Amino acid sequence: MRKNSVALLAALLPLAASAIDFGSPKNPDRQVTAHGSIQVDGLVPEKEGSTTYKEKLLGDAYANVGLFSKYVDAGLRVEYLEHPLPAFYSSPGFKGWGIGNFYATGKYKGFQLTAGDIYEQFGTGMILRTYEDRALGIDNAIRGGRLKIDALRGFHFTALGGVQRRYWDWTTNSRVYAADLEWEMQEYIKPLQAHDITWTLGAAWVCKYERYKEHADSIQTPLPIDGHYQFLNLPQRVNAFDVRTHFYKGNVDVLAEFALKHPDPSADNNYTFSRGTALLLSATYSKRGLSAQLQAKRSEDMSYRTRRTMTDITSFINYLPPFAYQHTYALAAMYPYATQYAPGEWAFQGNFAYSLKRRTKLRLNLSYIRGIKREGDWQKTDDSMYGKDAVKTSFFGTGPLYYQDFNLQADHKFNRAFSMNAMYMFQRYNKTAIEGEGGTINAHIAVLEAKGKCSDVVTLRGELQYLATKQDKGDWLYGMIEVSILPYLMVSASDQWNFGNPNGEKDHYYMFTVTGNYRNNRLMLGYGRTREGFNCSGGVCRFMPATRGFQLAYNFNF
Amino acid sequence: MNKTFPKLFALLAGTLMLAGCEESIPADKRYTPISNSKPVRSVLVEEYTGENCINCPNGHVALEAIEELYNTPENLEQGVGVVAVGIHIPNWGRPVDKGGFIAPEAESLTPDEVNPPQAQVNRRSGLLDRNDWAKFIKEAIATPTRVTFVNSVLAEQRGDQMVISGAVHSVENFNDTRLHVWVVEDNIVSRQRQPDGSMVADYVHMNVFRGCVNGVKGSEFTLSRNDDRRFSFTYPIAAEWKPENLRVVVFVESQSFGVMNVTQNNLQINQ
Repeated sequence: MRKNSVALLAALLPLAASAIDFGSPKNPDRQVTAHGSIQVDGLVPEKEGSTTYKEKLLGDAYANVGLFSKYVDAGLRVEYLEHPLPAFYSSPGFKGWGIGNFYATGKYKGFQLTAGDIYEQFGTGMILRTYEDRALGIDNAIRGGRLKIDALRGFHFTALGGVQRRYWDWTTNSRVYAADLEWEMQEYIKPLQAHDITWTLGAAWVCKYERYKEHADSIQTPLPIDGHYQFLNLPQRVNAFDVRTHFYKGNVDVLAEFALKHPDPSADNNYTFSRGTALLLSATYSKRGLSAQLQAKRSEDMSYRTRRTMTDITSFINYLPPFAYQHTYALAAMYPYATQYAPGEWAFQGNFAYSLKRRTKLRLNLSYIRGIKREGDWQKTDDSMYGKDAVKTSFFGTGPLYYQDFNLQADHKFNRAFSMNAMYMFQRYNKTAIEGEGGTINAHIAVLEAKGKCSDVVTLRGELQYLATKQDKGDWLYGMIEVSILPYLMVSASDQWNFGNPNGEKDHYYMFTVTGNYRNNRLMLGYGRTREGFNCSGGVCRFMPATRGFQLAYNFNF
Repeated sequence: MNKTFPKLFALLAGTLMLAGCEESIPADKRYTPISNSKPVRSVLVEEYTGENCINCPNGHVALEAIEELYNTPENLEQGVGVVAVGIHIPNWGRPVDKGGFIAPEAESLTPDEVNPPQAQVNRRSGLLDRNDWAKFIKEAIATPTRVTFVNSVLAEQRGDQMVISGAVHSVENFNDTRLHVWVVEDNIVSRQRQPDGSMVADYVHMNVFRGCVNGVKGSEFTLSRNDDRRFSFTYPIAAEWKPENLRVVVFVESQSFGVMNVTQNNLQINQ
């Protein structure tokens, strides 16, 4: 029954050209608008390396619809993940299908009450961020209730509570309660208004309650102590607090945020007892043709999850903003940095952009991330630390280099029809600290991209990239050509060639795709190989195994 | 409305301050000792591992500690203890024909969605993370069983073959039982990825699964009440194995009860 409904929905919706409106145009208060989307990603896998799959077709499918009106919003999302793509194939609990998300929100005069699945973020997310990222298989929505009050001028209050989703599990063993209050000071302090200053103060609290009944949920030391294995006595309630201030006037924008978490023994920190802290400072100056941003962040033991035994990328309550540039060029993204929630990191980032007079833009990014200085070595799994206080750390002291990135880009428009982008990047990546093995990789990367309009209808784009390193798999070369025939068609061919592999496996990772767009529909068909590696978004990374085969991606929005 | 909101927020702030107190646990209150159970039978631990698994050395240490606790000379004399087999699973190392430990039968013996180091105890526990092994083994080893081995299983080398024989006694009738006979090798020096990411070339591997003597699914082995049922098998010794490091693991499994009992013995070398 459910499968038939999903199929019927999928078949009918693409016929709609745009958002669907219901209700009487004469009475806008009763107007109801429907929006939604369908997304299907599929792969016909062929044998690649030692990985094999039982199925002949793998894929993920999502269909969601929402109804929006003046007083009530409601929506749901159906997901079919029974035979998931390789990235999620081996993730315990990922497979399944059904209604993964639903909600209903009542709105009236500055009050908003939601029941169902909630996505929310407090400040930069350092103690609470629930979101969905399908490429990473993340959906950590809170299923419960949320109250938002904006009725008082300049004050924004949010309170929520519920259970967190992890794939198809909404265990009630663990619950989250949270509240946030933000105050726009300029609404009450007239001099701020007079000087056109926007200045907010915010404070938030999150409480995680994770049941810890003796024997049923007990964590046991993996090694005996004094001849006996020991049950750990762990806190059931872990609170986190956050204060922040955000100042902006004209060209200047300054943000400061501090978060504190009570002791939270978990698999991430070897079940040690220590408070977690995070401090973030950010200053931006921007005006026409010029922008500069400087950021610093220190975080320690800020892994905050609803399930203390988890070690993958699921069950996070919080989110630490990434301090490494999120590269989109293939070879520049070869060694992506994953934010180290535990044990923590010192991170600095600078972004600068400048527009030269002759249609040239320059962008410079610098990222520098080190571990925290601590007494002794830290291992991700140290069975001897269970139940102990964490080792002492130095606030300003730094540990080993985790990541360093210097990249300079120049973008020039020669004329209306032709533009080029060039980038040089130097990267240092501590593969051992981030992935568990591989040493430190030093890489020089050069990118050249050109885009030209051959006619009103045809656009040609090409990329050439080179990565040079003496470590890991050696040098890579990447080439891509893409032809767009507006407005309906795009054809591309690309190849990543590991010609410098010191082990002799000089593989080609080729890809051919054809993409068609028609009204609200987008269909991509392709064939090729993808190498294994990490796919990262916002500092959160998932391992992707190598694949080969026919690919399909379909999107429909209304 | 404007006068009510500040009072409401103050009330909420006060509530949060009270609710937000730290649940502190002093250092001397963080452990509760677990009494060791008295073993009354042997348990089978199938450890899923791999030479490229960085956390697996920690799993090996944890399993060694459990074996040390239960495999005392007294317990072994009574035929009770922990029998561990390390199954090197696909995608986490090299297959046997490329110098690794992934046996041809490994894929059939590996559960879906395993993330090493994990193990299952007596094929009843499901996949367990390292932290849960001691807990389940403690319970399983103290659970009486209705199936026992008559004396020790005998495994003798005869040239390039091994001959395995023994008998099983049951106090009840069982129609769904199967007998499994495996070969395991210890003290193999080879490479192993470490928790710090490095690859150590001279790691000593123990409990390495080498093969199923009577097939992945074992042999049908119905048991009659108060009767002894004998078994005997012959199996080739592969060239790359060291006979002095081999042992044989024999266990009886039922669909209803999982592994009902297990035993092991070293291969007797005939000079």
